[in-house]
Amino acid sequence: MNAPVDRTTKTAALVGNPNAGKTTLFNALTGHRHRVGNFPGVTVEKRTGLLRGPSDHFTIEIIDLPGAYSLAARSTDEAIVLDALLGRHEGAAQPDLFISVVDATNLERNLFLTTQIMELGRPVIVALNMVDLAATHGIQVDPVALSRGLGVPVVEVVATQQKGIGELVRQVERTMQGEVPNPVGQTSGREGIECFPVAAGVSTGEALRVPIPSMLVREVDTLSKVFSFNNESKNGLRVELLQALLNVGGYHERRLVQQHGSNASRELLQSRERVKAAGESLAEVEANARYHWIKPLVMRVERRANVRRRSGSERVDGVLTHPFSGLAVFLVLMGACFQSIYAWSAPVMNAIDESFHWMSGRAADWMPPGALQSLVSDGVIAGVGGVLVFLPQIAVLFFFIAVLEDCGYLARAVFLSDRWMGIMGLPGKAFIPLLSSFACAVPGIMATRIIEDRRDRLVTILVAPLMSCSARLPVYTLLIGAFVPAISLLGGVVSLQAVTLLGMYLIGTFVAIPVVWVLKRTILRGEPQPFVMELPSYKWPNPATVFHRVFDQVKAFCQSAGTIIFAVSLVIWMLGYYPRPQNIADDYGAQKTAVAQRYSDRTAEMPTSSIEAKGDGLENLDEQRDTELAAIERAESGAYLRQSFLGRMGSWIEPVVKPLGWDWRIGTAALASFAAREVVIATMGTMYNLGGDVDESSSGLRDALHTATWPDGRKVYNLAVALSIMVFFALCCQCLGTLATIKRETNSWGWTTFTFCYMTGLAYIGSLATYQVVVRWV
Amino acid sequence: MRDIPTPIIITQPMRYVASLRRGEKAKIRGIRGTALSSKRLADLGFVNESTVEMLMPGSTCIVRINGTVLALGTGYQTVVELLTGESLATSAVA
Repeated sequence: MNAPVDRTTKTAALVGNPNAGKTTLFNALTGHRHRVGNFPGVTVEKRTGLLRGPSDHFTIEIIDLPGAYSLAARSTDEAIVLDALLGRHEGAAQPDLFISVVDATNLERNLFLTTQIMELGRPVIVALNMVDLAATHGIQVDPVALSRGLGVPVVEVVATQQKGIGELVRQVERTMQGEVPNPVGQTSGREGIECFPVAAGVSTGEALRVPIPSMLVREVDTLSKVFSFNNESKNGLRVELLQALLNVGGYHERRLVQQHGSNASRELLQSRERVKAAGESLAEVEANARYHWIKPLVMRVERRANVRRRSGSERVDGVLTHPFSGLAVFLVLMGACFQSIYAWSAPVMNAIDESFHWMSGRAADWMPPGALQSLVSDGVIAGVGGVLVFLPQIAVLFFFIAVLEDCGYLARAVFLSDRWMGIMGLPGKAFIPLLSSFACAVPGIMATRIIEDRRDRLVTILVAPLMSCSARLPVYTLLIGAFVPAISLLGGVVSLQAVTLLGMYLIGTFVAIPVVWVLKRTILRGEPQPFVMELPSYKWPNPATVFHRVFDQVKAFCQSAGTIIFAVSLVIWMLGYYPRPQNIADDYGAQKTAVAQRYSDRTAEMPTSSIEAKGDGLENLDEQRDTELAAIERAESGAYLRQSFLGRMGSWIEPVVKPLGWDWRIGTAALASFAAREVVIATMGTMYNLGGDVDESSSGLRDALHTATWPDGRKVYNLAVALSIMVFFALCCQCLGTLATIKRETNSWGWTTFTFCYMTGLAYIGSLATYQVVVRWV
Repeated sequence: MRDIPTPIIITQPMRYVASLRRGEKAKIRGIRGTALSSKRLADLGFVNESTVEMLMPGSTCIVRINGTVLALGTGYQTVVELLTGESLATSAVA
């Protein structure tokens, strides 16, 4: 499993509790030189970067690991930290050094993880972060005493202000050069940081650093004789076995059973029985041992000013987490965020849209008509533009999330929504992704990264596209405007059109509830995980952290837009463009020549009496001619589309879509909008020979819809058909940006295909039910 | 080394975090169960003799333990067992 790596590059892993300031420290250590990827096989974001500052000896790579309170892991995602620390990931060796990021305001709990990673057999440096915040809370930590107590170097830092970073970098380099050896070996004092010889950890089974009950050490000894993972270091194996022993049903137990079969289950069961027989609790034994070792240490190294007053954070929390005032603030804030996602991004989105239209137009002007022109103008430019248009919304949403998260409010928002998100069967953390999905599912799905539980996160990803995003609005506007009568209800307070629009917005949310219910009881079944979350102290958001967060998301989205989305856009263009039968070209070519000829004859016939009058007449004639030619060209585009593979596919699927009240043209438009729902309007425009430039407010398109007929003369469109189309687009997943994001976030084509299929299935059923009910009863 | 747990006295009803009123503090007796979620709480500092303070009761409540403020869902509130008869003096925050 451990692939060889270039040893001139040394690696240091940042480990710490959530909210200990790990990512801010990562940014301070690496500057802008970092990249974001995924840990292999899971959906957890992996950030790596090069350590700032020149080193004569090595390139030092820093890995930012997800925040964790303990090495105990339930799922693959949670096992990332221990797996990364043990060098279990393919292509990544064990890091050469661990930097334990410790929040000085909460030493006791943070040191729990530190004592765990000190047993892994690699050098550890403690970065004592947020000492400034601790000082304002009246907490002073003596780094020298802490270093002495732990037996590892301790460096005080304030990551948000870049304080102490230089010293930390120097300490990392010195440790990498072997000047400060492994904590379980001998070491020397250096530059005010005293390091003392310490006893061996659980790893050696001799004198224990943290006095874990000796019977537990014996059990780990026994187990380590029975099991061994591949070329595992002895320390790593013991730490893993301890976690497998104590975490009943956890990730490490499952892995052990996978590798060693029922033998592993039996050995673990016997071992656990012996632990219980000795009067120890599996859940508590490790925590009791560590905390009872940590508490006296903290009492020695920490001084707390004897002030018992409510901190600012507590006073603010009294309002912000209150069942009533908290909810009111929450709703106002979320409303403002949601509104801003629309309002702030609208001008930029329009600008992007217009500039791509302009580019598309210019490309069409500069290139000779033909396949290449259409490919560049309608395929490449329109395809990329159709996706990049989401960028402003993504940037605005992540700006809000980053600010709210960094200042500490996000945790309170999650707390407040947890109370009633449970009704839907979702965790509180699903609220922000789902709300965001009302603007656009792409950033919404990306925002599910805040949900730690894999199953909860997957369920949220699967239902996020059901929320009615802004791209559905044009479809609703066009069809409601054309087919829903403008009558008032409730004495003129609301219009039927507004009620229909609201209904379309709500239908996805209501459908999502049973979908979650079914998913959580079938393919994503699992023991519901109790909710526990830290509410960090409020602080001012750090601009650099906010910037990095937004930048990383925007970059990640552009990368996916540049690959999958681009490729599929090209395929759809091809299906809509080919074949190009010669008879259409000949037929419409002849019509165009005839029109041109007729106008040139009329120009020649004009009286020559007045030069001015002739000029005006010519202009009028030119305009008339251009209008006629444009009409022919639109008819030609329509004829081509009807003949194209896409058009033929539309005809093939007519029997399938007929029960929905659709004719083949609506079927074709639905197929063409596979990449993006809003394309359906432009496709309908082309279908009805109006050109692709129509939008939802075009009266031409509304009229065309009203006059469209079946071969037997019946009208195609009526209220039932309009509602059926709207319900279909409300529930379907016709959005390549969303599908590409699901693929990237779940790292699985399976879930992506599943989402598309289940939503299309729902859309079909919903649409069928709507049509059949409305056409019979209304 | 950990002391052997005090035997549970049947006549004294068990008390859990869920029963704490706003501003009330109590010492923890231990964590019930062996599930991983129980170990998670212990790892967070809900260990024997630690003091827990209720900041905001509710189906999802807010408590303080060792200087950390945590939100706890219903599932967890009945896992943390308190030392009965030794509930410390309550200090209403409100």
